[in-house]
Amino acid sequence: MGNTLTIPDSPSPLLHLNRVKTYFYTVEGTAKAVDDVSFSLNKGETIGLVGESGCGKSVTALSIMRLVKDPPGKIVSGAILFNGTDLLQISSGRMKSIRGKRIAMIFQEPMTSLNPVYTVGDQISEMFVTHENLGKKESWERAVGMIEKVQIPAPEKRAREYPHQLSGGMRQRAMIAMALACKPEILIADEPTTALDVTVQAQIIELMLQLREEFGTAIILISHDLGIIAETVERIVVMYAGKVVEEGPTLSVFDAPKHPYTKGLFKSRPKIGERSEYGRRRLLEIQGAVPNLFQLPGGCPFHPRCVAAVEICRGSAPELISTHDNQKVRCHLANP
Amino acid sequence: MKGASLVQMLRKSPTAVAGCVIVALVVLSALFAPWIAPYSPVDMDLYSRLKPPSLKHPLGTDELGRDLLSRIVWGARVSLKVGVISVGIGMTLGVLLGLIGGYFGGVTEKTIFSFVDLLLSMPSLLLALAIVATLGPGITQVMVAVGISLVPAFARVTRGSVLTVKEQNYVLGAKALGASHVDIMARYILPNIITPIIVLATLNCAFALIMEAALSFLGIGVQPPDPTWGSILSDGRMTIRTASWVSTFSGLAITITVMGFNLLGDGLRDVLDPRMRRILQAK
Repeated sequence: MGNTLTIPDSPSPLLHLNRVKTYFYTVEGTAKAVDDVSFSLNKGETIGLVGESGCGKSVTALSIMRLVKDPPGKIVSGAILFNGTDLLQISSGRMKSIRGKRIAMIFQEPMTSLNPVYTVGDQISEMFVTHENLGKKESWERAVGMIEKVQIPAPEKRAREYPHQLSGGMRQRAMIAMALACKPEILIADEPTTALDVTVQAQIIELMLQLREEFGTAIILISHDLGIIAETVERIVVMYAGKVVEEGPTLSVFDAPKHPYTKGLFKSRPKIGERSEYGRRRLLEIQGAVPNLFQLPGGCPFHPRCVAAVEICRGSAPELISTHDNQKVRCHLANP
Repeated sequence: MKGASLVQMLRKSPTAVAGCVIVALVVLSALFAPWIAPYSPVDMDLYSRLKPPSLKHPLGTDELGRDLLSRIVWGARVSLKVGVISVGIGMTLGVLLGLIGGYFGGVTEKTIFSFVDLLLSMPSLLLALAIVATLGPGITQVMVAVGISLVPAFARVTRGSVLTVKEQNYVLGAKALGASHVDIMARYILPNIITPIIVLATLNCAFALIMEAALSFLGIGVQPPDPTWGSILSDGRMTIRTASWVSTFSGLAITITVMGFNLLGDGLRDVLDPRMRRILQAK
């Protein structure tokens, strides 16, 4: 993994991914799930990782945690600098002490993310026992405090209940309580609201934002729900076929998307009121399907589906370039 | 799960109740053998040899005039001890091997399971015979032998369950929150795979009982005059035409106890399976 490090652009970000490549080696071939991904996360910042299923969002997150299943997965090269330390170079014991204490991650399925045989309180207090060497009693009290913080009613009673006795929303709150128990510097939330209904989604997002204020935790929110991303994050990173194709402040990306893929994503979103204004129309879609990671098309991986593709797109892969308005885009046709 | 709710659940399953009652009766008679047994199990009365069941000897006497009821009641002690301890040995070793192999996978798994498969490829009675032949006859050797012959079953079942559970979201979630390998095995995997292991343990208690009976029957188990069900059965085979009760009643004791363990195992499986639990709760 001896890669030359490029100096990150902002003054020492909390987390900086530098040209990370995570490949999966299978009998069908090599899947470049994360291919040369770089981005940064500043202290207390919230960024959104967006893209279709299979574009490498989750693998990027798992790479940060060093939880990519090996075999078949392997972080091939790159650096993941956390407060200046390369997470890919430290011992697995040190990594273990970082997970949960300084970088925590929660997952999509609140229904199955909690251990069914322990009470919620037990599971949250385990965080304090593992990471802060607290006694059983004190851990329990702090666990109940955390349950209260994530706004589960009757925390004393709920702490004694098992996961199957809680609703999906409450389980996700419990997961958040576990993840934030040790006040981590980074919370990675992989589609935290996908399995929940819309009203609960809003509450969970609201809760995460409140807790971000309280704990000063930086958040990487992974989602394909552009509505949630727009309301929640300060900066947005769009991924396609394992590569970052566009990056920038949420508002400017939403106002003026530069990459044809991002444009397509925004167009394929139903808008409230559109039907009464223009009548019933077919929702726009991005033609084609997500490319097979084993056989990526040559040139720009998006060119077979791109409406604006020209000859150069077939021939060479574009680099990520910075534009004048603080965005980054990986497209031959974008103007700097 | 709380103890009280487990008992309540068990009560709703008639087969489990039957199993519990049988096992409890056998355990009680083993515990209170000195008080229940009307005679000493080893005292001979050569004037009343091979007497059929009567008021004086409810189950009759054997060829040395020993009271059969007393021998069977005392025999429960040895049989249960062998059953429980050998299953304990087999379960501890098997679960440990299965858990480590299944969780770490790769070379660890291959090494452990080629050994387990080697054990599995030998008929368990033959394996037990070989072990007893090496270590010499005696109750401890029988327990070790039966225990080792049970290891592959526990290792296989454990590994199978570990492979499913270790892919569960809560295991990944635990890793993402900094749990160590030992933590994950002890707190996340083992408690979630305990159901099939408990069921297998009760079923294998029955198997161990039969193995002990078989080894004692072959004369390499518990040595006379100590009564065990297998040795009583073996003693009775010489006189089975004239005094069938000796083999019949010791055989019945084995059959009923094995059935009790099997019913208990089935009942536990139903009760411990969350989906079944819901059905039982609805009743």
